[in-house]
Amino acid sequence: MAILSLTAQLNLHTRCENQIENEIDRRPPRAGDQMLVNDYVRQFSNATHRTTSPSRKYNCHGLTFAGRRTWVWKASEIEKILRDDEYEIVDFGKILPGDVVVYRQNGDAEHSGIVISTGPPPIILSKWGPAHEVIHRVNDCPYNSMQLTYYRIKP
Amino acid sequence: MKADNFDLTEASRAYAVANTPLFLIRKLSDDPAVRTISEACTGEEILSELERTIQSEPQSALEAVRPYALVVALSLKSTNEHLNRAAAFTTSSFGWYGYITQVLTETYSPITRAEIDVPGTLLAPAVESVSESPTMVNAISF
Repeated sequence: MAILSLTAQLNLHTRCENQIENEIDRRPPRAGDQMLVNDYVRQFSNATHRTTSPSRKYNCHGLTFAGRRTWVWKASEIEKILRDDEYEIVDFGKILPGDVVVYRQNGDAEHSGIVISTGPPPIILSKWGPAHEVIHRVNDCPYNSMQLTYYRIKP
Repeated sequence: MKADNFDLTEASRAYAVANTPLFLIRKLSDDPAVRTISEACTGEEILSELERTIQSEPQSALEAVRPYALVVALSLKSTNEHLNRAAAFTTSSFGWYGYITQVLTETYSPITRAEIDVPGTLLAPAVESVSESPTMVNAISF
């Protein structure tokens, strides 16, 4: 097996072959990380906490748009993905499992996830930063759910 | 007061779920502990603590968020002198440091704190307001 550096950028391209800025961080969790995850598990007791191990290898956008491989954090990169990969906005009443939802605040795509059930309310699979993966109601998470946009990728 | 004496538990909770640095900036700007650091410590004290913390790899969740809390505290100061000096620091241990200091310096808006005494008979509780405007009113006495 190759020896890998602790942090690196993966070759990750949109459908239009534009590089998506990203960083995989292979360092192990720090002291206190698991305790903070446990706090969120208690706080959001209605959610399903799919895994409880923190990881900085990928974040929500890495789960939604990059197959859980890496961390994508710049708002401009999310907009690039949505544009280059031909995502189309879906009206709330027409969402389907497999669509994605992007949470924005002041132009920043602060969170995203994959719709797994339309509800209502829609149920989302997402990863919470360096914490863990959670299946949660769309508005039952630590992010601003006042500005949600649902997208579906074109075939 | 030393800048390493404050409880950054809430800051570390925000960092634990931060997908983006802008989310972290928003949360830290609203964190009472970060505001207290800004008010209780001088710019030099915060800068000194900041310079010390970015020298080494963070070993805990609290250490991981501390430089970001300190630089946000600097951004709440009434001048941007120390924030600009913080932006010149470089670190390989805190991946969002350069981006966060760049955003904070570019969006810096000076804050002035003032207590206004207004003649009157009613005593009102202390209020604090934060807005896009560059003036913060800490207390109004009637």
